[in-house]
Amino acid sequence: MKVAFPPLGIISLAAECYLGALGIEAVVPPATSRRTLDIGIQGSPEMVCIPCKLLFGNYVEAAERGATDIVMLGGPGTCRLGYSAAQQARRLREWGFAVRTHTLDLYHSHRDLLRLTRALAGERPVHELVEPIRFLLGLLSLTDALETTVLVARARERERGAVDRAYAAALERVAALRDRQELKEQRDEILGLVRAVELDPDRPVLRVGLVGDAYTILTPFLNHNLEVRLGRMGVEVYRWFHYTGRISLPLPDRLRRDRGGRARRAGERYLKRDVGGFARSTVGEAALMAQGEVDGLIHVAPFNCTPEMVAQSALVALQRERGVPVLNLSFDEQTGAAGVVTRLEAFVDMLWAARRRGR
Amino acid sequence: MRVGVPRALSFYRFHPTWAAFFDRLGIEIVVSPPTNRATLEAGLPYAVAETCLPMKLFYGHVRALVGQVDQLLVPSIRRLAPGSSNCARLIGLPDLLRATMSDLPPLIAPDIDLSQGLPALMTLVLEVGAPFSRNPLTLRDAVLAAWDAYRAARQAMMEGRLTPAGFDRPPGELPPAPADGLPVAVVGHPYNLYDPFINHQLLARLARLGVNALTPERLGPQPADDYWAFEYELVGAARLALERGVRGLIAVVAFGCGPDAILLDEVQRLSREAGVPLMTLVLDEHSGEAGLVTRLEAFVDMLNWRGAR
Repeated sequence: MKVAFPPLGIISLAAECYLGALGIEAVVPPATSRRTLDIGIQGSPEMVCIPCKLLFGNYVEAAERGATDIVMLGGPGTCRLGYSAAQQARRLREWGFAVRTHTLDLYHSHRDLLRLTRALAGERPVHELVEPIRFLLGLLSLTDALETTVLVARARERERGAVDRAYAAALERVAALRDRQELKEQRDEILGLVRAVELDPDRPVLRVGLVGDAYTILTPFLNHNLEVRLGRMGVEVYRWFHYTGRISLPLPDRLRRDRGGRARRAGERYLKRDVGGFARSTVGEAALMAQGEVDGLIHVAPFNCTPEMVAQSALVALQRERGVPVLNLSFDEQTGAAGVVTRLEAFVDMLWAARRRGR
Repeated sequence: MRVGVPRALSFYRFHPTWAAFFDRLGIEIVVSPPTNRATLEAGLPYAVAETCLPMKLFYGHVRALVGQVDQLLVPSIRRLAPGSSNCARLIGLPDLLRATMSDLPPLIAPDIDLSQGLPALMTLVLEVGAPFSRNPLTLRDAVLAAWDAYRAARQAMMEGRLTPAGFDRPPGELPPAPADGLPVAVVGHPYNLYDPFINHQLLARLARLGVNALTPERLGPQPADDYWAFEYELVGAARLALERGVRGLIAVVAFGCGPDAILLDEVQRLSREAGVPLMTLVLDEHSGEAGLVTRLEAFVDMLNWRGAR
């Protein structure tokens, strides 16, 4: 049995360690590329959104590398991803890949992790499963801390690329972790690798909140390396999506004291109903960030992402009321890097002008 | 008291139900005028550029009612069955309106979730009816009238006496469908099939070409256990139509429709397996009439040739 997670941000890396702790061999699919897209286009309905197409390409590339079991990210959440997983599983079989498919429900991952672990590990006592899950959560907490640091540090690095080199070294160390004990011992040291990069504390920087569809945020191929580009333009990026934020305790919103709960309450004014996808989180986080946390917001979405189009309308109201500038970027297979860069530069210029005016 | 109903989206599914409900409560219903170019132009400034044409028309119909009515009926249709789902735009409809328009009359915006069972439905009715009547018996009568109207409309549509286009007109005005024509299933959401503006008078053109267009509501009762709330209107209807031996399938979808992007794939699979030709019409505000006419004529000619062979 060889199990693959799609290469969505750091989850495939963390998953490799977690599967190792379960004694299961992991297949790490290659990072999403032009080839992934070409496969995805061949195997998907024409009008489906680009994350669905890329994910199918990811699954095929995992199967080509010998994966027997594929973990699909989906679940019934009003977004097409919830439904297309079943269609993609069928298409994989039609294409002659004898793979078993599992789903991890991104909308209820706190509940779904145990179910998934059971399905992957087979008949084992629950306590043997709990340890790898705790290991996975610890790994995600570490990689999220690394990412948060990197997203901010890039704006101030003295030597161009130093942060990303340190980040790559840190991720290598993460990939070598075997269990929770090792994680505990090495956590501070690994974080230190990134925190030790020499920064310029006096450089003036902008703060930009990155909200929108998680798949687009997590796929540099799709968003034309947005986060790195922004960092090198002297922009600290505050990204709403981190895996640990998806795995909160299943409490009612009113009782949640974490950021997700506060975002939910802040966003209610603009989007009351859960329309699926990440729309409510997008709007909620944007509303929180607009309370003085950032200079501007960048909203990213795949072209024609239904939930994010609802979020985009809600952000219009937010922009009107709070006066926070919002740049909407939507990506599909036709998007060119030049157009993205021009718009980012213009947006950043405008934010500087707004700051000079002392908004 | 005048309640406005935009002639868009769920108008084409549930209007008889709402009309009977409000009628029994003694409230006047105002439906926005049929779609035209001006409707689209009024809606465009409020819509996100990438959104689907039916949504843009919905905004236009709301604009036609603003200032004319005291309240606006904009239900949020969440779920028709447990474990199912609906389009994000249809769920978020009231929120979308509030976010984009600042001069709206008060909204009547119930959250319709049929997976929560009868008690939740009754709570909903009391909530919607409370501003109009304090008497629970009156509300009960109104609900029963609404239910009867819904079933009567379904029955009438299955028998071909009524189409969603005629929901707010007196019965008997509609031309009869050419029953002995070439049987072709025309599947899609009713707001795509029954708004002549959105599809360049597709159904009238088909009738002139001698086609007996079998539309979803003529084909059979609507099951409620699909994943997408209105999956039946494409996939279920296509399946029923193929069982009845139609000679061709026409699927009508709006460009950028989230659920339909995936459902269309199912329809394609069904048509391939049955060996019945399929034509897909994708609607947006740029689709020209001439292209549509040419394609329709060619498709119907092809079906006739196949029949003659």
